[in-house]
Amino acid sequence: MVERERVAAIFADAWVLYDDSIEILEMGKQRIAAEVAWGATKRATDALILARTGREPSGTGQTTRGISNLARVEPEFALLRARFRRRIGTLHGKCFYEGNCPEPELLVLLIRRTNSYIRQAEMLAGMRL
Amino acid sequence: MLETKRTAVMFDKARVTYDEAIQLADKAHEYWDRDLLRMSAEKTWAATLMATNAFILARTGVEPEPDDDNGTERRLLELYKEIPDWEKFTGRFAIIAEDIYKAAVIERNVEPVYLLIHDIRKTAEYIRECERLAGVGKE
Repeated sequence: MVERERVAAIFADAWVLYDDSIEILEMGKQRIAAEVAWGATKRATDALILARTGREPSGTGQTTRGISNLARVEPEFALLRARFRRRIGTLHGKCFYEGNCPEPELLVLLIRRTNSYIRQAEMLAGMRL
Repeated sequence: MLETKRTAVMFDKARVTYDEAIQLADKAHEYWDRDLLRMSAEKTWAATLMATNAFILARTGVEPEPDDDNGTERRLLELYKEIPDWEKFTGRFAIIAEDIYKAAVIERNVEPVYLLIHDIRKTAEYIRECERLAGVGKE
């Protein structure tokens, strides 16, 4: 039961980060918004991994390995794994770290679609119908 | 859709290269040989680049430089309005680039072996998707 509460708390954190990313985006700070949207993506993925394995990842490497393992065993996780990989590369690595962001329309789309990523993770975690 | 002879040749080459990658992966699995697995990973990446570039050529009429994976990535980003389920399709490209090519070939890390072999086998689906989106191959 405590674990389920922890899963819910991490998903709630993901939603807070998502809301922050939209606020920052509307302030015109796209690069920072990209990083916060990435944070929301990672937190939602962590919550899903905890819900499915009982173990909470402690770093990005563990999160990446965790979602990859889930996708190997359960094919319905493959889509989320692909989205995770696209997001870590485009939002986090290229855009935030290297300043090499995609064109604004695509960047905004990826940031805004973080809500569908979180919802999909919640469904796979059994936290949403 | 710009289906040219060049596109067909590129897809043929991608399929042949990928078949070789699978043969190497099977041998690597049988003999538990990490060097064979790395060779399989390298061929998987080569087949992925060829299939992706063939798809880009079919869609845009422009062929990315064969060894410039950044150029391929850039073109994929530009096609976001034209590819249904763009995030998933390009995410699969990113998995092959990062988890197969960068990890196994560049960093020489094939662990965990079971996951690498799984990813190499799953690349077949990505290549088929490139063909489907380019308007060639089986529906």
